[in-house]
Amino acid sequence: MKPNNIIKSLALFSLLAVSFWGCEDEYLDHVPYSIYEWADNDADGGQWKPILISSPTQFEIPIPSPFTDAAYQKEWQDAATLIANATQSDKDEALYWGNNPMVRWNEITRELAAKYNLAPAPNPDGTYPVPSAANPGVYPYFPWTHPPFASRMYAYLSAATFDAMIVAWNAKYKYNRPAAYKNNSDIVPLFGQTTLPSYPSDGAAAAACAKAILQAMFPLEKDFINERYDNCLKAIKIGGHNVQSDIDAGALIGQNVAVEFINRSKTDGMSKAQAPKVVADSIKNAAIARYGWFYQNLEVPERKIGLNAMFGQVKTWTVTNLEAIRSPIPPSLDSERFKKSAQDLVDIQANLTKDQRRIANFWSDGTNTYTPPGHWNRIACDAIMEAQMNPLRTARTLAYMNMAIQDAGIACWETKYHYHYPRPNQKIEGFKTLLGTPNFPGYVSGHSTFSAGAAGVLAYIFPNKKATFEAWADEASKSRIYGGIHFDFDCTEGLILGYKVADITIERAKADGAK
Amino acid sequence: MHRILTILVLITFVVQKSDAQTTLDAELMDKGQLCSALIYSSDKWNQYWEGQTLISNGNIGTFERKAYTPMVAYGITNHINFIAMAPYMQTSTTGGTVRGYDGFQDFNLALKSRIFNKSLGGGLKVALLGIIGGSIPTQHYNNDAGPTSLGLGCPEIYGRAIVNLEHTSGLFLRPYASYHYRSDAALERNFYYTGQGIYSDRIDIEDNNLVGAALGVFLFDRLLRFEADARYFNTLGGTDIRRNEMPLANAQMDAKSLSILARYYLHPMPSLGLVANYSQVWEGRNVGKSSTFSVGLTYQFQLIKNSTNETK
Repeated sequence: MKPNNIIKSLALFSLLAVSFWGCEDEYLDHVPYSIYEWADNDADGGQWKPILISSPTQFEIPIPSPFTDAAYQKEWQDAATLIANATQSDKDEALYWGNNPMVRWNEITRELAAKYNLAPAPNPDGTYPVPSAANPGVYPYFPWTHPPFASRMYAYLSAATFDAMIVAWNAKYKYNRPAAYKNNSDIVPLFGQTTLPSYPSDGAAAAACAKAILQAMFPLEKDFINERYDNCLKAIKIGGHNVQSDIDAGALIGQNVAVEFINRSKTDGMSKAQAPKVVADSIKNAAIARYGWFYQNLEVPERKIGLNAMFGQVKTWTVTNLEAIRSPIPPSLDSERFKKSAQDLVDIQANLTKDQRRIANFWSDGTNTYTPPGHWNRIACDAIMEAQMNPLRTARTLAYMNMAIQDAGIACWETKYHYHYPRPNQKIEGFKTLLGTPNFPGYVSGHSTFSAGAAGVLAYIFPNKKATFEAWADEASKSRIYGGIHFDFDCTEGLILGYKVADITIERAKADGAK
Repeated sequence: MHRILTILVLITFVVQKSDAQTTLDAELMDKGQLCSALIYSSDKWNQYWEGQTLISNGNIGTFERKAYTPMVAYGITNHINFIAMAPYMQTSTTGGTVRGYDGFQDFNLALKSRIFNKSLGGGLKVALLGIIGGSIPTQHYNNDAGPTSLGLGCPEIYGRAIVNLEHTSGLFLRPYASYHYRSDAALERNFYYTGQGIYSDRIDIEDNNLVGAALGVFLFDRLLRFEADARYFNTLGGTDIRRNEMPLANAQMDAKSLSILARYYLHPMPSLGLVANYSQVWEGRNVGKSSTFSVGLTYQFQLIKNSTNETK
């Protein structure tokens, strides 16, 4: 072969290889959203019923200065100068936060969930350490954002932000201060036009609320959260709708409302959710006495205490009677129903299709991820942006969804530790599964309950997407069967329980005054 | 003189990549010769580096990756060989209750060319070889299951230079180096955490390089080749496995390994050959402390009569 031909064949091969090359995508650390106009301002939003605070006027903010006030006019000049001097990177940062920065705080919370969602590694003696709120920086770091913890964290963030928005809306329509750019033509708004009153700033209220809640939940992340907070407030100013006094008043509301929620969190029972061994054992023994079966962890070394055995005792947001909705008694281990379910699992693992595997992986949301509640927050934020919700509506959607998710989690855990039902890998000899088996009883499935809680509320808020959300909850539920870690009745009953919690939550939402 | 071919699949550690000795050695087949081979290998470890900390994990116990690799190589000319293979793999763990996988991994192609070959005097000669190769996954296997994943799921193109210094006594020294361009890989989820949360269903697999050197000898009229090989596989970025974390496909996998290899041809052309290899990783990052044993059977024959009058 001549040298020419050698070169040609090498070139041809390279070309072939390149044709198989995937496109190198961008790997974004956020979901790309654009600035948008609110579908509606919800001018009556200041009259809606808050979640925890006593009334929309519980927190006073200073009466805004009149137009003629020199200090206010100076704020216009400062805003105009800041916008005029903004670099491209300042503007990109402002567009990232956008005019509904609440969804970014939700995203930041998801990132923190992923960062802290790692199960503790065993000690050399085979015991497992427990994260300690008193020593958060000592391994295993506090908090461990497993799904129950994460559900609570998203619920506090979202419910507090909703109350802060109601307070902000109340003041907005009381004072009716026009957006900054309408007062001074030197202010060129990056966020487009708005008819929403600017005082107090809703974005600052959401940011201050998120900052306080997240810093209370993540003691090791204070600096990170401060940095994000400062960036958010700067972005709001560059947006051109709010000046400093709007932001200060908003931040004051956010801080004050957050305190109420942080106080609730101190006595909601979460600090006792991870039961000591003696308590965990008594819960397990009660189930053995009642039903004869028990869940056992098969990790090496064995985790002798199930995760959050007392999470079922944590204070709920809306559900008042957990026993009334507890799932029915699962099939006994010698029943035909049980044997069939077990055989189905064996068959599924033996003949796992690529589609089943994809579904199991897609909804897995395991360690090192934002958890199933985080997955539903992402879904909700996408729907919120698509529906062009204003910040108040955004907060309402996230609040009711996340309260339903946490209540679903609490109801699920109450059922789990009441029955203490075994996992498939305990009862099927030599059973090896696609997904790792979590460290808590199987009945009912957490994924199923969380997902139905979320999907039920989202279907109420976005009725045109009801079928989609319910199909996703169904898929998330089935993913655990494909993963080999749940019997089918764990999942079907989990969905039923989750939808019950959603219905109770929706009844509350229907009565809050929002149209 | 017999142009001979040896084959060896080195499946090491979590790297999950197979490579053929043919793409690491200095030998070429003549025009028209075909070599077919089947290699079996077993790669085992019971400790791995979580980041840079060596640990064991009761939920893995002993990890094993078996591979059965069919392969063909063909002499396009006396100076250019074509090599293709596709390993069939099985992964398993003795500990824990999480399953392993089996199936074909990546389809590998390479063109190997001798760029020059000249005598230095004193019985010493030097050759320079260049290889361009690549691989693509044969199927959409699960690449998100940690060490039991069949592979990383990304296509790859690499270029490699091999220098071979050989004495008439049969002694040889063979340094080599390659750079591997790796594309991104598809995941079956659209969020993962690498130090920040990433909203994508694709994951960037960093490039890697491989450098090594083999020292060995040809004996019995070149029917036996025996060598020791030290190599360093180095990924140019990626994430460290955090404590008690499931690794991502983009983990920064580094490994230093030592191996010994013997290849023996039972008789000259058409020749049946045997290869055996043992290799051990002694230092690594985000990989298993792997011991790999492999054996293979090769059969080489003249497929098309070499009627051209090319100079060798």
